[in-house]
Amino acid sequence: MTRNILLRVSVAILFLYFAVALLAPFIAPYGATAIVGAPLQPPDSEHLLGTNNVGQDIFSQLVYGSQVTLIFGFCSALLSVSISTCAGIVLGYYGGSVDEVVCRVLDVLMPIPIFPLLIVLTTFFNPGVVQVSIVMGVLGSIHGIRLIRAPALSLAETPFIEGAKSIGASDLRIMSRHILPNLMPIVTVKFVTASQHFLVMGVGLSFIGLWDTMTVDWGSMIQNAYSGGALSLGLWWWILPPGLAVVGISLALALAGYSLEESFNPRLEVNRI
Amino acid sequence: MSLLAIADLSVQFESRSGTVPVLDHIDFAINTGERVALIGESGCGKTVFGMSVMRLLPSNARITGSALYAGRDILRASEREMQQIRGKKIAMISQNSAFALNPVLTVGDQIAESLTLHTSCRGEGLEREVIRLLTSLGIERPKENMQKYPHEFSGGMRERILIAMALACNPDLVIADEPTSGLDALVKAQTLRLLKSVMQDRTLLLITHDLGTASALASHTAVLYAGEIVEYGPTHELFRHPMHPYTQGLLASSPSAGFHPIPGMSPAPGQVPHGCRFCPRCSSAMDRCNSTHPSLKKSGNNRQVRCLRYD
Amino acid sequence: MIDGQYLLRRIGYSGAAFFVCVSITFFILHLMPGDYITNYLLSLSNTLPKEVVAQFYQQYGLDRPPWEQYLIYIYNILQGQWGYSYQYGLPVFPLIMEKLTWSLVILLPAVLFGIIIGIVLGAWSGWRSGGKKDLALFNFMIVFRAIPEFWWAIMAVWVFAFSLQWFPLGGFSSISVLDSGLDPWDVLYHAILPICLMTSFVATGNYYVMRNSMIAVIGEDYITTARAKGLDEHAVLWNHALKNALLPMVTMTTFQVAGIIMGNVFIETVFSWPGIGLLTTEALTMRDLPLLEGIFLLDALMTIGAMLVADILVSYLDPRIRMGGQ
Repeated sequence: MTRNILLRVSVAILFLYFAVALLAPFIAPYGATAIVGAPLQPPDSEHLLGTNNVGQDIFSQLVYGSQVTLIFGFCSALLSVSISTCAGIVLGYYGGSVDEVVCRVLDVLMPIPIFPLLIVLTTFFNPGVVQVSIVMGVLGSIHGIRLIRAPALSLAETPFIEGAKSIGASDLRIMSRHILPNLMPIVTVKFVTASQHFLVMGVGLSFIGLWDTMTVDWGSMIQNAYSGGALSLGLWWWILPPGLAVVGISLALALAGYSLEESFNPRLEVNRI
Repeated sequence: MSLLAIADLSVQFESRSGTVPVLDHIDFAINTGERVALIGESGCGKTVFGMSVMRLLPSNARITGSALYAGRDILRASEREMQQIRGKKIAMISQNSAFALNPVLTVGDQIAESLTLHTSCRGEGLEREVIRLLTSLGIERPKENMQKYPHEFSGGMRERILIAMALACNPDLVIADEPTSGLDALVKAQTLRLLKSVMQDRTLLLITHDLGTASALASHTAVLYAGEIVEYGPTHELFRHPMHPYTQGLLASSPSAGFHPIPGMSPAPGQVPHGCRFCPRCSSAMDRCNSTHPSLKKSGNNRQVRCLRYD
Repeated sequence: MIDGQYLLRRIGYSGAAFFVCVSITFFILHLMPGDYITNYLLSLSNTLPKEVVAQFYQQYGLDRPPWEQYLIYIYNILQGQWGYSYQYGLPVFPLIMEKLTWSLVILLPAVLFGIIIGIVLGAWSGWRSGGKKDLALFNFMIVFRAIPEFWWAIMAVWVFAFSLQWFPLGGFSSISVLDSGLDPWDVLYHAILPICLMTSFVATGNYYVMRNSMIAVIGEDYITTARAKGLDEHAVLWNHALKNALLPMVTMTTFQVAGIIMGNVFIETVFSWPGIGLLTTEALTMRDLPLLEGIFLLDALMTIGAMLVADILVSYLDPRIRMGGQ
């Protein structure tokens, strides 16, 4: 019961974040990079969360920053899970030598550390947020394919798939109408956990300087505040808002992920009545 | 006196969606030297019955009633007392030999474990005893084979190892849950013959859905349907003259009798009919079968049946 | 008696994985506008002596056809010639190796304690899964893991260094290092907070995997068989459940440990610890591509190596693989 409530609360929080990101121009009183006041002003009615060291409005930065952070987290997760799901189902359903070869290739690619590779690729191409998300999605899918392939393989051998084949359903139809719906629980959980992972990692990468200096997101905000001495000066309004924003969405995604996993995985549930 | 006398045993499982009754008011006794088969379709609660006697049901199971073993109610025994009984007095041959053996321990170690626990066998004596057990179950080169891991054996061999484990401490009662499941016909026949010979002078509670296994091994048979015993009697009599319509249906559905399946499905636990539980599938149902729940009644010479037609 | 063929195959995969990484770095370097050596030398000085350029061209074979350059590149990598950092003007390999030593000061104890703590807590929690204490610990771990590593680090600096002043703000040594040289106790004092944080990150990851593994094992038939023998719960746990639950942990732990590379980057950056992590941040900020490539190759070597070790360990511990099954 409590897990169910937790799931709903998490989804509500996620909707709130999405709303803020979508409606950023209407919510934020100032531009993200505009210098609109004296530096390091504490919060007041004009600047809800004060200003940073160059006089930019922190509340506006927080609102606009959500766009980069959410785009990176959700786009890369969506892409990586889509690729894993399609590839996993096709491999599991057809099997044979293609499956064999792809699995060997995955075996080889598995230990390659994806985030350091992402850093190298980003440094070289110097692309925008969307492009980096695409690269991240492709790299991230390497780890997901096997996760989908194994259950797809066992599904493909069940009598009801054999039955669908025997009445002449096309391969595409079997994969999309029969195998995919049965895998949706795994795919959903994977998507939620991947979003959380990539989103947090995106903020982290931004914290260490992945984006160019003009990109405003929560990671670069934290970086500015931290290296600008927000801690030693005790300027809580400078460093806390972006940090708490990440913690909030990360918690919501993590709790949603665990709640979903438990409701889909009866084995975990049996042990917690 | 009975070795094991079960009275009014009910088992329910608590889940989020409520309480699900699995076994209802079972009365059942095994005398020393008897080999009793408990037969029924999957889902009728027969495995739960074996596990409740071993007290190995998951924590969400609620057991009521009594099970007197050697004059003591094992349903009320402490966990420590149960550990003294399990393996030593009452042993179990688990179903599905492929998963019932620990994959990372040698079979010799797994057999020796019971002996170390319940007997004073140690060192060389222990090894001799393991070898004796393996030999008695027809496993060749026991000294070499006891060093092997479960996956190195065939299904039939694993089944023998499980039997050896159960017999290690010479228990008073052996509970065998589907001892031949997953074996092909030839190996199954061999295993049955072996079981029959090693169980000759023992007390056995055989849990199976397979009528052939029951008739080959058991002196008495109880038929379980939807959590209730519907018929009980000496095996050869019960098989020759089944009284309950369900038993008749079961026998008619066996391949040798022409494979006439019983129409319909057995009810899911918690959704049993109000009157006779078999009524919706029964070909000879009467009007009152719908409303009156029959009780298990003595019928003639040591037979019992739960059917209104014999009232 | 490990199956030799299995072992050879795993080593082959590991070699192939590293080969893929080296190929990636080669192609990126050669896709760069202008050639890398000229860029590097220009970053050092404005005037380029002809002889120097020629010598570098010779070493990197830049005057040869691309496929020959590729072979020379691979040869150089294997020889420990990993190119030159723009930012430091130094060869990448010795630079990375020096920083790696500093990272290991934090990583070795963190991985060791983290794995032990995570496995012990996870086993305990999984064995008692469903109980109140298990749920409390499990929920705590979910929350702990959901909060980003760099945020934990920043909060730790704020609380323990700024507010309570129990620990230094960062760096690896006090200012006294200039007079009296490096004092191991002083370094340790600086390392305690980062080590504690890294340990807890490693521990939470392993906790979650170990708990799941234990829950899966508890449901197995052989656990019931063990109970049916009359073993007490303690013996069932130690003789039957633990070894089976630990087997998948060997592989999963290496995945966890491979995952801490980025955690280490964040921790070192926040604490200004002069290891590979801080080097990554500096190289990224300066867009020092050769150095980042070197760090990527090192990370790749570490994860590939860890997974190879895990594979060998599993095949030694698991009789089903050891005998050449599966």
